[in-house]
Amino acid sequence: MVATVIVNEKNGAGETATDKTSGVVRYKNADDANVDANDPMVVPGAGSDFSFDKWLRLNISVAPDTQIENLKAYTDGANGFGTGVLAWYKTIGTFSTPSAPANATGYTDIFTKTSGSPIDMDAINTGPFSSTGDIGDYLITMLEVASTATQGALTGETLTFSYDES
Amino acid sequence: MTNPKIETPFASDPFDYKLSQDPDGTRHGINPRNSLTILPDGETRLFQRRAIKGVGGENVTFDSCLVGELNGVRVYVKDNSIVLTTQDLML
Repeated sequence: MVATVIVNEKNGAGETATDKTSGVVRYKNADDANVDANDPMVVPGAGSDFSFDKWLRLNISVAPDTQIENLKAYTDGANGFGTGVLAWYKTIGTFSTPSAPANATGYTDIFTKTSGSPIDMDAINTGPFSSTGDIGDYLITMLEVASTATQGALTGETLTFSYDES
Repeated sequence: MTNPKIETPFASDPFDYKLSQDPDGTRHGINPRNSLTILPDGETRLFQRRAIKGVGGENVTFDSCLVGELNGVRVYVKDNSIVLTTQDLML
């Protein structure tokens, strides 16, 4: 059978999953999957405002004939957020309750990861995967708004997730 | 407002490839328009590379291509386009 793979956002201590395959991911100063104006990020007078981490993970909702492997994620390589707004990522193998980091130590600029050098999404939780359920590593992304940023809503940026199915 | 849920459309794509393997190791990727056959002349692989594009935004799209490999040389087949390379190409 042809597999169905979705992208979930994970929130809360209970790792509540929200299907974001076709849904907006809103960076904010709170741990929830709601796309609303609550808990917005602010342009600080000095330093930076860091969003809560967004935990994303692929999930097989319909199993493949054989297997899925080689999970990747990448951007278009261009930060369209504008001056003073940075997007960071890291991968991790085990879930913990999302929080707001104090800085970007341990993270990498996500816009350095393109189709030519994508993020390896199954380096920790390795494949191949043949059953339904969560697969691969967690992709943690986080937004930094520096004092040099312009106030107001930003044009969105997106990710591509890739996998091999057989 | 809740975004409408969009399922990955590969299962309903009439031109999605059906993959199979003969007892002698010959691999086939077949859809109603064309087919790719890899003879077992060495290390072979056959899979479909899938992509979910636009995640995080409002306009998600889905893409797929058939990938055959023989001794490290890959052929990427998408619609009427064929690329032969040793590179690991993303969609």
